[in-house]
Order: sequence, then C-alpha cells, then structure tokens
Amino acid sequence: MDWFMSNGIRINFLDPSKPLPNDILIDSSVLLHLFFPAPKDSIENTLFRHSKDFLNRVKANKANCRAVIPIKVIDECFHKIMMSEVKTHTGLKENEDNFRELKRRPELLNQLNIPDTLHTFLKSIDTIGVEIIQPYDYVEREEYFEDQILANIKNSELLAGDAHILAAAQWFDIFDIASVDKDFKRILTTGVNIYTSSAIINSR
Amino acid sequence: MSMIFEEISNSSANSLSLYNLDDDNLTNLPSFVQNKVEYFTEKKLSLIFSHVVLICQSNVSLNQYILPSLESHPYSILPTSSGINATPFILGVNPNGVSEKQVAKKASKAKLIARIEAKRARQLNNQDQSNDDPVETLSNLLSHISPEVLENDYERGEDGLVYVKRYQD
Repeated sequence: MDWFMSNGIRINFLDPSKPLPNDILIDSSVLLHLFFPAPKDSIENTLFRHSKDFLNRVKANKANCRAVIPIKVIDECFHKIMMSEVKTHTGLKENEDNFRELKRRPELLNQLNIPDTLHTFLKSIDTIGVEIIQPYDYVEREEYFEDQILANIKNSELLAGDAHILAAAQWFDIFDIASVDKDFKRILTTGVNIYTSSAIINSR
Repeated sequence: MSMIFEEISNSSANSLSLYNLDDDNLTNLPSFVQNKVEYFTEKKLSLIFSHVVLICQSNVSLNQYILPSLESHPYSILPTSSGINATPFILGVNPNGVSEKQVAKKASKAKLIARIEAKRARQLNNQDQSNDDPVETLSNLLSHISPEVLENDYERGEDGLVYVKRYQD
C-alpha cells in the first residue's frame, strides 16, 4: 500500500460499530487529556472523558490492536508532567517563569520526586499495552526521516512535533492515528484516518 | 510457507499478495530456505519476516510460528557485526519489485511487531502480578494539582471544549 492514495476519514474512536484497526499510532494529545486534571463542567471535560474511554478501549483490545507511540510523544508528556509538578512548588502561573526556575534550580526534579512520577507514567503506558517506538526502530535510512518531517511540514502545514508524529506513522505504514488535536485534521489528505472524539467530529 | 519463499525468489512482488496462508502451512520451515540458504544475517532474517508479515497481514504471529520454525533447523543466525555481507535477500532476488526504502520500512515494522507480540506474551503470563488499573493510574497522575495552578495549560475552543495546550514552555 502506498501513501497519498486517497483521503483518510475521521472516525469516532468510541463507536463500538467501528473496530479498532490492527495498528494505531496514538498522538500526545490523547495522553495529555488523560493525565491532566479535567474541568468539572461536563461539556468542557468531554475530551478528557473521551480520551480516558478510548485508552480503556485500547487496553481491552490489545490482543487485536497494536497501539504505538513515537518517543517524541513521551518527550512531550515528560515535559508537561515536569512543568506541572514544578508549578505546584513555585506557585508561579506562567509556564515561561516555571521553565526559567527549573533551569535555575534543576535539583527540583529530584526534590519533587518527578522521576518517580515519570516512571509511573511509563509503567502505566506499558501496562495498557502501548508500545513506544524507539529510535533504533528506524533502521538504516536515517536520511529519510527528517526529509519526511520536512515534507509533512510543507504539505500538511503541521508544527514540527506533529510532523514528526506523522512521519513515524508513515515510516511504519500505519494508516490510523488517534488524536484529539484539531490540527491533525490536515493530515487526512495524506491518506491517514483520524480516530478522534465525536465532539471534535461534530464541531466546526 | 515454502511456496511463499519460492515465490519471493522467482517472481514479482505483486504476485505475493495472492497467497492466503493459514496456520497449518506456517509450521514447517520452507524447503526453499533449507536447500538454498546456509545462514541468515539478522538483516536478511528481518527482511524475510517483513515480507511474510506483509503477505499475511496481521494474522501471523512471528513469535508463535516463524521464529520457532527457524530455530528448529540447523541455521546460524549471525549478528550483523559478524562481518558477513548483508546484501538484502529480497532485493537480491527481486530487484525490480521492491524499493530499498520499502524494504527497510517493512523490516522496521516487522521488528516492531515482533517486539509487541513478545511483550503481549510476557504480559499474559504475568497477568496476576498487579491489580492496578493503568488507565486509572494515569488519570490520577496529576490529580493532586489544583486546576487553578494549571489554568495556563488549558485553552477553551470555540466549540466550548477545553483543550490541553501543546508545545509551550
């Protein structure tokens, strides 16, 4: 199967009549909406609930559906967890201020037991049945990968991180990505299907 | 199984997809391999796997069928570092059917699938070791932080939904 054959479609990732594909790549946005505290309002917290329900579905179907995430997703989640923990200590609201504080006082990482939190994160991902794509999984054609990221930035007008995530799917011929990031709608033209929340499908 | 390897050696890539395997004919090592190949490098092995996976889609477990099958025969699976020339097996017999990039991509995916299936098998064997719900654990990861502290990490969309912001310091 080649890329760019036809447009992908958006699929409600909780629709029981739509089985999960054999291979699916999970974008950072799904994980972020799982571990960030959800707003109390039921409409506002829709993506948080749906992301959680989707990951429960992945866990329940791991015998039939291979779920993977690129190391880039881990990197993004690690950073968000670190910065969130630091905020509880500094009381500073601006992310930029907290980042500067962490650069100035790196010992906060251990003082706040952040490595333990990151370990719990990784262990949970593993137990759900989500496999992390390691750097060594991209064998031999190193020059291809950055070319593909560049092509994705140009053709789908994606930010670098999203372009990297799409390139990982392309490398492994994975044609289904789970995401609750609206920006990913732009990759439908590459032939990838987006598994997402019904709230995003139904919104303008 | 043996028919597949013969097909790989003799004809075009397109005809490979015509084969529909079932479990029974995956249990024997292909006679083609027995007769014509004395050893595999890791690279050759992964290329073969990638084609078998391509043909069989997801119905075949590499660990369950193919690896034990190969291990039961007197072949040495040589590490790439042994210095053996690892000319791609598939490219050598089918130079016009598959591009080098496609072969490398399929080999990558085959290795990834093999790792996932090995992990699944391990997890099945250790199923009773922990009763923790990993999804619940993840959803409680930052629950000790009040939403007010994280307010700059959220943005409200025009659709009324709240999104977690990405790509920010």
